[in-house]
Amino acid sequence: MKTSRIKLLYLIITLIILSGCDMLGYHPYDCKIEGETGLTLKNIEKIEAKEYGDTLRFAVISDTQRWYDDLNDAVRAINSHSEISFVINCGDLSDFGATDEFMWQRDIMQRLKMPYICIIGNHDMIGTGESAYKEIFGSLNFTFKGGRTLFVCLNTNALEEKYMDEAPDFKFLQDALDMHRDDVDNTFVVIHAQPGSEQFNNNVKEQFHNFIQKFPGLQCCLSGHGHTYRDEALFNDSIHYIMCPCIHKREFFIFTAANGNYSYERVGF
Amino acid sequence: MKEWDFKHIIAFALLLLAIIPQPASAMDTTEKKSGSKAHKTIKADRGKWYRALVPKSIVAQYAGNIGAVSAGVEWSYGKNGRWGTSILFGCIPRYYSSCSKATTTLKQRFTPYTIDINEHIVFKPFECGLFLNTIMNGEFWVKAPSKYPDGYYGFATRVRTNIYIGQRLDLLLPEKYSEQIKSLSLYYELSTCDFHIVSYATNSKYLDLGDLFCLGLGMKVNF
Repeated sequence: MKTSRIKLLYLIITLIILSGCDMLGYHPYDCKIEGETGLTLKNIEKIEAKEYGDTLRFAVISDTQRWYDDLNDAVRAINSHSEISFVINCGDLSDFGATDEFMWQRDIMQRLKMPYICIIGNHDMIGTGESAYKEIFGSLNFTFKGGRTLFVCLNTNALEEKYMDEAPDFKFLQDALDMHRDDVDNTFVVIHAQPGSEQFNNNVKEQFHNFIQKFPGLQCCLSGHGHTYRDEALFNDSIHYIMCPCIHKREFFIFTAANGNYSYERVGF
Repeated sequence: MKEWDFKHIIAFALLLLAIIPQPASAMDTTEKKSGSKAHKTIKADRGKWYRALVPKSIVAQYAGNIGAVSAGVEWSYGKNGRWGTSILFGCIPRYYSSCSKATTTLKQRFTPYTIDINEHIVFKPFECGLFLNTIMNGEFWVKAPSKYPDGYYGFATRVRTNIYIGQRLDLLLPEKYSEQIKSLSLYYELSTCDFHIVSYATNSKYLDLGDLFCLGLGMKVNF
């Protein structure tokens, strides 16, 4: 009788441990990443392989941190728009920079039917966040093309690195400009923190603004960070800085770029 | 930063060696050898006082939100040692981050029930408690550095508050060993930290309890 009870006990404990083995966790900041990695490059490949006619449509979301339920609903809503070619997330995927946060966000974004791109936000640089971002997504600065439209994606979170990193990286901008000067007609710049915000290196905000205008057919500069919708000509010229609200506001943008112009629609879900 | 971490690990290892408990029998023999009765009482008293400070267990743990592997000591008290306070030092391998990290954990345990399975096995069907874990790395902070505006990040990256529940099995050693080591414990615990609790609280549709809790497995040598 007693031995059978012990056997049962051992069996129960073994079952608990076996069933929980995928739950073994080292630390919230362990940077132990499982599942898909290098997604920026993988998705750029998919975006650039697509055929684009005269019109390019893409969706923009931002500041999805710690709003998994809302992001999940947004993904469902975006999936119902088959005309959207790809999705841009303007950053702040994590709130604390914890490794699980990035994996949860990635797993939701992976449910998108179309490829997606994630920019690094200031919250993504906390703790081991930047390393997790680099592993799961990729470089902090990158460009990609949708047909003959160039997207320049930049890290502008200068405050996070005490202004010691090149944020924004003018060398990167110059190289991107040299490379794409002749093979694109329009350009969108995508950043997380706008010029003038506490994260941006405001010592060079004018230079930044002047530099991005060198890109062929600069349309506008997309950003997040402020958690509210804003569309302003920050430097009182024709270039608009459009801020996408956080996902908790339950809103995303659908951008349409055609004939050297752009328009966008704010879509609630 | 790397050197700094390495120094910490060595310091912890030395500290650990220093506080590893002496077997109780070693103290008993010195008492037996001592001369007069008065001397004996003083010795015995000192032994008692000293014994309260000496940890009751050495603990080793795998995973469980405090590092990949951790080791430390525990002081248990109360009836059947139902309360326990432990300090553990752990390390988090580098993985994709810039360096490996050392951690320190202060843990408070409560084990209310004891079931004697037979004369060799005691089952503790429910344990719970809380622990604080700090990452010993200069890139993590308790209060956000002064470069940020006031109240910019309202949390500490360096210190995590965790709660846990678990179960434990005590294997009592035969009498001929029990002077040195009384028993061995095997335990598991499911723990979750403040970050995950906050995430779950506002996202109960997408996240489930499995996302929230993480498993740790451990062993104790009880003196």
